[in-house]
Amino acid sequence: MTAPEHRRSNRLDVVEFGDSYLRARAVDGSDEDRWQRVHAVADRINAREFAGLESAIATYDTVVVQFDPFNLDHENATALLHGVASDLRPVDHESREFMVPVLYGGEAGPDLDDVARAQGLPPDKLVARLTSVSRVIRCFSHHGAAMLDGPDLPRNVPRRHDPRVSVPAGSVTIAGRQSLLHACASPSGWQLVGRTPLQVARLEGNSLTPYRAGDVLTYRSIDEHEFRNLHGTRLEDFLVNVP
Amino acid sequence: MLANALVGNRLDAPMLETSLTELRLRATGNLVVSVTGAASGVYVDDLPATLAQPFSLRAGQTLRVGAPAKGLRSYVAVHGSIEAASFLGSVAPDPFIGFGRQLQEGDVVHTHDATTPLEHPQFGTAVIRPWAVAAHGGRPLSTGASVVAAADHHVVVDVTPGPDSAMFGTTRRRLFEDDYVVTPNSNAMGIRMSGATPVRTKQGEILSTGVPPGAVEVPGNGELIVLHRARGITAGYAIPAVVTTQGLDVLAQVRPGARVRFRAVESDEAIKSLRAERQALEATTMRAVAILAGHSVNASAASGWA
Repeated sequence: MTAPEHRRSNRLDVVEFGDSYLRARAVDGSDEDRWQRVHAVADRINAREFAGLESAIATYDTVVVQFDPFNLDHENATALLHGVASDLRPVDHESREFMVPVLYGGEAGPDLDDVARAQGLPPDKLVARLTSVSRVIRCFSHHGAAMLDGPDLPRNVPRRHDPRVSVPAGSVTIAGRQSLLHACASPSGWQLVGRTPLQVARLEGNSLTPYRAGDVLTYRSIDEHEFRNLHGTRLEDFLVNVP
Repeated sequence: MLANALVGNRLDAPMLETSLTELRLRATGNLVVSVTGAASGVYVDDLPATLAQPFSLRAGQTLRVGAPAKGLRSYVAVHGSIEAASFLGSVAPDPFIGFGRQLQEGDVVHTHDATTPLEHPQFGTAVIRPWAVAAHGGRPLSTGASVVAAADHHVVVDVTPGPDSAMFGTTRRRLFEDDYVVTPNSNAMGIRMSGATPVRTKQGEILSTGVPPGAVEVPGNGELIVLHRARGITAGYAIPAVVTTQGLDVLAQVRPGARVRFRAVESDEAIKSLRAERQALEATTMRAVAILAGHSVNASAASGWA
């Protein structure tokens, strides 16, 4: 039996998003609640627990769901989705933490000095701010790129006027009050401040990256010597807490 | 999918795609193949074969898929399908994550099973018409030819309402009032077009969300982007429209410089049309399977026929 207040706290605002997708926004609760809820919905859908709901992409307060248009339409897919949201179980996996070595500045992070100047901080103080805190992976941005909370800086970091056609795999970029770890080379309009020598993406198993939303990344500043030594090592070997 | 249907494969079986260039394949065994899409012509040892029809390719014969004069992509399916590595449920190459196989001259592609040598009087004639099942309620299946034929003029692409349509006020109408021109910086992330774009009239921050392929993004620089398979999340952009699944098949054939005209449809119409197409594809597959099975019973008797 579902209590009415329970149902209300799981409410999703669902709208159509093309001929075979829905967009569902969590409408009440704290930011943290809504984020947890949309990711819990996505996890169950991506585990293929519901015939006809094929995949889901969760971000902050929204989950976008792909349904099978040959067996469902928007109406019954929406009903199915409300059913998923009203029957959420606690997440069954622990959050894991990865310690990520990053070479800041120089060729690996050509925008570090500009960002530091705009913040009124010496570059080493900026690096200290970027490395001092463990940060939660909120969602994926593109091609396995981890979107993280923070960094805590005096001002919003502007995007580059001249976006780069490509930043290498392992790049660490920041904009606004968010940062990204790029699993693969990709175009980027964000400020490039550093790069990890680790191999983040892998073309095997059932996910492109060893981390998932809800896991935690902690950056550690390294020098060029360590960068060369660690080059190509796999990120999964830098798991801190093995559950 | 039509190429697969015509040789009796699963619709999502691996097949070959070629963009812009000519493709030559030499069979080392006996195969049944089909070619669909933008190819200017299909030839077996320089004798013309028919686009969007299954035909037999004997060991030693060379299949030539002509470079398209219009349009962009052609597809080659082989009965029994080809071997290809799979990752996350797809064999499609993804240059962004570095997955998949791009064929080079001299490469060998393996087929899944050795087909019985086919030498059937019916192959080479129009035995499986992809539009023969249109009576089932669908429109004729696109062989790519209709899109390609339109590629010099404007290509009509269906869109359904976007979840943020209201944020563009009356400027959303601009989507349907004039042509958009496809620009050269298009790729698997998105197809970019220039033209008079809708403008957001309702401001306010939108948190980034996932998007389906086909979502139309308006970055505000006189360009719009139809996001595609290699898309990321929205980066806070509002979405005024979404290209239908069938509309994406149309866009797959447009080259830079092509003129695109959007047409508004409701999502239930889009689903209805998609289902009719699927029904026609499945009927085509069943017809092909039946004919190929019927043939293989007589394979030894017919093997001397030439």
